[in-house]
Amino acid sequence: MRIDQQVMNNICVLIPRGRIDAVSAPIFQEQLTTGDDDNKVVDFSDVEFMDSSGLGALVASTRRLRAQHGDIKIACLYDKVRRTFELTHADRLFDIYDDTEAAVRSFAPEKSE
Amino acid sequence: MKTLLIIKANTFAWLQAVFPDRTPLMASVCNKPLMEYLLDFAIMCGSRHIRLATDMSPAKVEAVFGDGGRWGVELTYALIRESDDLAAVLLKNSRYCFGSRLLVMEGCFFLRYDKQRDYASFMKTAAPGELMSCATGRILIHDDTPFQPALEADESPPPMALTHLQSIGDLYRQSLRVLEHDAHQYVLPSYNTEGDVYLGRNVMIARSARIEPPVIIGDHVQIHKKAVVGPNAVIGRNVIINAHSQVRRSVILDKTYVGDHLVLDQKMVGGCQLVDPSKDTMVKLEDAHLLSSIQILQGWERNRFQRLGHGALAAFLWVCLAIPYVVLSFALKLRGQWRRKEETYWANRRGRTTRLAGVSFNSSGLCGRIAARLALDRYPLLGRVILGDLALIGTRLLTSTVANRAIIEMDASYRPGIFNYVEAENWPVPEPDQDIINNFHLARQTLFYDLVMMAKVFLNKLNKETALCESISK
Repeated sequence: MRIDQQVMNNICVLIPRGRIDAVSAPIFQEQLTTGDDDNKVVDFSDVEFMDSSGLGALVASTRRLRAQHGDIKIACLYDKVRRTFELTHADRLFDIYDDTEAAVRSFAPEKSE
Repeated sequence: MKTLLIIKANTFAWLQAVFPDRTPLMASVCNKPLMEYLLDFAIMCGSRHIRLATDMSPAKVEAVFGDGGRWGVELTYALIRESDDLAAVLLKNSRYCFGSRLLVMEGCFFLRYDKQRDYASFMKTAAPGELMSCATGRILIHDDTPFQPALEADESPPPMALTHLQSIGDLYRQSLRVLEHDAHQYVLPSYNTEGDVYLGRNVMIARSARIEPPVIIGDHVQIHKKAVVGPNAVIGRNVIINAHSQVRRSVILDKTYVGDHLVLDQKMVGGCQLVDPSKDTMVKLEDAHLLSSIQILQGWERNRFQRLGHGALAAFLWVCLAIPYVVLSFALKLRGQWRRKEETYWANRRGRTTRLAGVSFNSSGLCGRIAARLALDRYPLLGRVILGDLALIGTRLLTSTVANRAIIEMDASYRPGIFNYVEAENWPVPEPDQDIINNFHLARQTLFYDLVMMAKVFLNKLNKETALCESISK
């Protein structure tokens, strides 16, 4: 798995590519929780598969960032990975956007405060 | 034009309160899901792209409607949260909504229309904004492209109206209204229609039974001798109406058994629940010979092979751990570190409870540590796995409280196990998130998968205990 990073409107956008599984989940979690910005967007458009380790990493990181008044928002969740979110009811925990820019924009009011 | 359907669980709270085991998204009027009426209307308005945005699991809807190919449209699904308002939903679906005229249907209502009228022309020229609303929902047009008013504005809009749905009585009245007066306005599900009798597939009607129109009968229904169905009866799918019973001015929901010599007049029935729609009062009948649910076993309960596999592995563990259990329990009892505890748990999604006697012990001493490594606290429960009451590995056992019942009803996948999948994970998962991980594994489980996960559970227990011992020795 490779994780690309972009900054859009001062928000860190992580773009994981490939599979998020037990091997890559620790790296994914590290990327989610490191850095100065507590608000992050994860673009899932190039994620082929995510297993329970990836889901656990995402959930644990979100809890951690929320405790620091930050958040993780999910973008471009298609078919296979969307079903994983649905089946596990993880969708109740996250804001899910069909567009990365919209996910970044959703942080705007918080940023301006 | 595109369509966005926004349906939230809280708008169906009235249905969940009476029929908790029914999927709100599949609530139906005259055996046709409310969502299908909306889908038909969207298609009549000229939509070829339709999206359902919901905070409920769309899995059951997806199983019925799929990608919309059967209707000649592209149907997609989006996940939203209960707290999202319209602006938030539009933002979450901005790629879908962008640059197109959008018909938004939000809430829980019945939409009255006429299949013979032209809605597409009206929708093309209608001004953006709210078209109509009721107490429980609204329909509006959202358009981020410049609006050009129609040249011929004198044409009156085709008939359409919203009827609010906020009680079982509303749903009942709407069903009978469609059946009695408006059936010709909609495409109702039937395999064969004669006069005002709509029949589904695989319907068995005894020769001496009487059908009095108007009546709609779903698929796989049996009506036994001398039963009288109608006038004004809606019979769902997988229903049995036993001999000499009478059903008139009533709605029988799917998977219901109606016992013999029973007279149902102006009632709504689902499983063993009998609702008087005029007063919105509900009675739950205990006598299964009068009214009951027809249980269609699914997943774990249906898979005898998998239950046998779990039972066999439990028997193997029971034999292997018998001597350590006897020896260590004796040693821990002598030190007063061994306690029995009994508690009642939910045994399945249908509300059956079971009382389980487990043990707890102090795992700080040598005996306690060995007992913890071998998971001896679960040993007394292995017998329940052998009997097929519980799974060896599954979701966490939930105590029989009202709050936990609500959790089980929300989660389609409750398979209580004496071990749970989280214990096989490499890192600790906090309790509120354990269900997410358990659901993930449950969706993938096979007998082999469960065996591998059980091996991981024991390896994890061994590693954790080893790590603990190392930290103590340091």
